[in-house]
Amino acid sequence: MAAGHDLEAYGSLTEGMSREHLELVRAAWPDARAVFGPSGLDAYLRAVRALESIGVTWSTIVTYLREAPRVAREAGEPAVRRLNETALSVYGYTNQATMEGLLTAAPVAARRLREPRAFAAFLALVSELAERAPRGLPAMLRHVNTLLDHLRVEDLRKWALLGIQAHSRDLFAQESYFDLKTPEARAFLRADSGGVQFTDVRKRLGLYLRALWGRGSELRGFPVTLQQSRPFITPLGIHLPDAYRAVQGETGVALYRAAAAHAAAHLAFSGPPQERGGLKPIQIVLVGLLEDARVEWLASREIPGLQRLWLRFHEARPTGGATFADLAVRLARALLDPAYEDDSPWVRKARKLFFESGHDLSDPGFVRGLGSSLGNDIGQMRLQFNAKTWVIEPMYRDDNTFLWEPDKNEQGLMMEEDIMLVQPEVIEADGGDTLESPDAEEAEGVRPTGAGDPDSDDQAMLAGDLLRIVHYPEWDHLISLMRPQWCTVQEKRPEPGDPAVVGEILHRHQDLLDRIDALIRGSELRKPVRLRKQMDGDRFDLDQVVNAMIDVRSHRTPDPRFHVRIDRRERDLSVLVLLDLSESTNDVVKASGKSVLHLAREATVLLAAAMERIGDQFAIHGFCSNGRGEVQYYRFKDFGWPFDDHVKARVAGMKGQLSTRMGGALRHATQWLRYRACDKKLILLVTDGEPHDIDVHDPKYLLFDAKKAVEEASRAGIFTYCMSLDPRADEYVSRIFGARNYTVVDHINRLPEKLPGLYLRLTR
Amino acid sequence: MTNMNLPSDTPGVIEQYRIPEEPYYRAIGSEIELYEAAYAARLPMMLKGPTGCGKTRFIEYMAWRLKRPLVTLACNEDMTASDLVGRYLLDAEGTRWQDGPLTLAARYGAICYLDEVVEARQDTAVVIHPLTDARRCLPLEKKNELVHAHPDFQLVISYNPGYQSILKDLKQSTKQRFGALDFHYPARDVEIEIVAHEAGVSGEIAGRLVSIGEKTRNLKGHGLEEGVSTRMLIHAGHLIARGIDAVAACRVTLVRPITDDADMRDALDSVITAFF
Ligand SMILES: Nc1ncnc2c1ncn2[C@@H]1O[C@H](COP(=O)(O)OP(=O)(O)OP(=O)(O)O)[C@@H](O)[C@H]1O
Ligand SMILES: [Mg+2]
Repeated sequence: MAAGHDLEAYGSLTEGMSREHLELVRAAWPDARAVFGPSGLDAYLRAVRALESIGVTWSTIVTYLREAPRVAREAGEPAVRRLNETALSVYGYTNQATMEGLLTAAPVAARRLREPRAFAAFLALVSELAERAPRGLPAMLRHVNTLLDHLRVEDLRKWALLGIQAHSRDLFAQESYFDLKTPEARAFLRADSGGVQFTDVRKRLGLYLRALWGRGSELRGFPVTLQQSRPFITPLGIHLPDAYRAVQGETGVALYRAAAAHAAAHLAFSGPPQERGGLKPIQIVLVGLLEDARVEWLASREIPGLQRLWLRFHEARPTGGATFADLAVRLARALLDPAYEDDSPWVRKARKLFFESGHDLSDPGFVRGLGSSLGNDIGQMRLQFNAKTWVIEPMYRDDNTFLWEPDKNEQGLMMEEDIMLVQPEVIEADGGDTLESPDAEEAEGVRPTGAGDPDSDDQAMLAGDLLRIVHYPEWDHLISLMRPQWCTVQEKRPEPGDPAVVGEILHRHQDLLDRIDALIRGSELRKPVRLRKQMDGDRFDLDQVVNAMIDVRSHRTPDPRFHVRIDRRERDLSVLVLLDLSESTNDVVKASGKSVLHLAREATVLLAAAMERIGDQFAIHGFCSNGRGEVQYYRFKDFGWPFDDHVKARVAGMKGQLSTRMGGALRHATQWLRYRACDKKLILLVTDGEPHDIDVHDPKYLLFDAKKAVEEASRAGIFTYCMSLDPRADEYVSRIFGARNYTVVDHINRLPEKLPGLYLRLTR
Repeated sequence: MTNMNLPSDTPGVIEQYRIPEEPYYRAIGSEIELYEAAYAARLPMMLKGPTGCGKTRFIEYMAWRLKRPLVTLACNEDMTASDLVGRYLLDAEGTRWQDGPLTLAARYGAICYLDEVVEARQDTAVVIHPLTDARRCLPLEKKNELVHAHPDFQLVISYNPGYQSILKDLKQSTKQRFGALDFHYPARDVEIEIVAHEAGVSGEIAGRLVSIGEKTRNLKGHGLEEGVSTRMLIHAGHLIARGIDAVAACRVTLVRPITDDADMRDALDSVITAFF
């Protein structure tokens, strides 16, 4: 290592640095010198000095030390120098938090944008916004990943300017725009260049496949998650991500086309699922890779343009890395692209065996043997393979799970997949309540064919009261990573109680209900608006009448739109009330002699009455937990169900037990709201304590996870509000939900009267 | 093909309807023998099949082969019985009768081909009835004449069952007077041969064009009334033969004419790029 790379060599810069900061620099140094040259290191330290001199706290310095090398790795040293300048200028216009936001967002942006020029344009935009929209900038930086998912920098700038222009007077509205909370902010994302949503291309893809293969294929969208980012094939059809952005200079539409054509090639040429037998995970991957190549080869023989289409997404270079993942993409390309030359002996050998061993490519049999022997080679080359983190590349290819019989050891995983699939159409057996399909518009025409009745599948798989099992990731704040599939939500059928209990509550609170009525009327939830220049209406628009008269006198044709009409503003709101049903809710509240659960039930009933009167869409769900494997989730009432005896019985029957794993429940509630087509969505969580669970000993763990779940909900356009019954709650509740998004009810016995009022204020 | 300015009462007028040279026709099945037999029996014929699949070309070829003149008339909604049968015209000397194409063919022994006869109104179509049964005659009411059909005369109509609305279907009483030959888009190799020959493109290009045609036909009934026809493939080939970029040529001749739907257009455009 050159002397220039040791921290000691920069004595002139470290001299006078505070001891604390110097320690931080020392800790970050190995990372830094791995990417920076001497002059880069010099600039790096100077930046730290500059931050120190403007007096930022150590957290910002840590952020800088950590993120700057990442930026350098993604976009080069000059980018870091620009970042340094921009950060300081942002600080000048805004505050430390915003600057820190920029430092955190920078490597993400650099990675997404790839090109130094694009990254520079991004920084220029940030400077501009610091000056013009200082309140919006932090929100935008928070969403940088999503935004760049959909927009190129030029479009990001257009988007930002649109927000500034549209809300130049109302800074709060501007902030919500940048926070992606307004419909137009999101609408722009959808209408961007290059990126596309599945729903927008579904029809054309269907026609495309039908034309090419002469048969219909069911196409379905699915929300991309960390665990499932690639297309997949099931008896229900071809499942494609619900959005694709432009990649590698190709539009999202092209990617959809490539993905759909690849899956269709499987359906045309791949045989029935195989036993995994003794195959190791790496062999499974390689057999899949060869099978991909085989079906693509057969398809291209019939439809030569497909090869070109697919090749657009093969980026492998012969000089690329030599990890297993690198070799795999190189082989994938070598098998598709006859013009491609690769010098890896393994790739060459595989290609030769694939094409030249005298077997018939239209016979699916040979790939298994070849795949397993190639897998053994990889083992002998001592290359690492991690089945858990493996993701198939190029990204148009499906995950190949359908090539294999479900593995008994992976039952849990398969189960989740199956259930997730059935989810949109599950119909509960009891009482005939029907779930609103989360993607109602997509359900049409994609009813499972050949997969049997989704209902009976569901019943067969899940015994008794269990309705659905879904796995969710969990955030581990110590390692700053999502633990995939960490927490299992089990949806269960609630036990009905006596609906009269609810009737009694309503009866006893008649006074309160009257007051709520008055409140609803008084709060003008549906504000009347005056629409001028209407063709018809109940009153004349005098200005227009005068104009019309003038026109008549001067022999011109008058404008007939001279009426005024009064209209009510429509509320378009969906509320999911999520009740904490943990053991602690059985505690009796002294002042009232009732249990917390009892009070929560009363409050919920009254709230439901209020929401019914207003006409808002609402659902009532509840949860408790017993370790990460069992977050129990109950749906007492769903959107679209009337608040009738059936629901009342369920509400009357709710019990308090076990613990409070909030994150999983919030994520599941988010799923229920995610696909609702409405303007505003709200999760209203009613809880009596902080998150805890039997298998977690670090009190912060579930707290940070819940915070993460709230952020995820907000990213899905869902607002989360917490009504806490724990008088000591302020501290942690504000951490989870944000400073303004919670209320602590100090006299729990007043919850029933408070909750509806709070709701009205919240949604005014 | 009728020329109204020529005096129609001289036998010579029919000579112009003769087909001097052998038209290029690639047989698809046994349609030639079948047709010859039908002609021998003077059985009126109906050629069924989608547009642009070679019906017109076939009848031209058959007329040449049988050495008969061919009178062709494309029918449309505005057509009246007089357009078929004939009418009095005014000229310097007063009025003069002008035979319509149907009368002309019946009088002088031609094959009369009424293309897309469903397009004509039903009351128009019934004037053919007396010619298509044992009577083989055509009453010219206005002229007060009964034309007995020449022994060589034969009536042929074309009929595309897939395309018109039920409101426009032929009457049963009309249909039952005809023998019918079914036409389809030719098999792949035959269609390639036809496209290559007619458009003057290589077999390789013709092959790709035919592939595109076949793929689009999968969408019949799924957003397309009809797939791309042989005729359209030939059009595309013509443009390609003139040096137009293949993808552009296909878009212009194959996609834009048959759909206005954006999704369909996109899907068909992608089908084109799957082959060019
Ligand atoms: N079997 C064939 N042999 C030679 N050429 C053919 C054949 N089939 C189609 N063609 C070509 O296709 C073109 C269109 O065919 P044609 O005009 O006969 O269609 P059609 O069935 O009569 O259509 P329409 O119902 O619209 O009148 C012809 O000009 C010819 O070039
Ligand atoms: Mg695959």
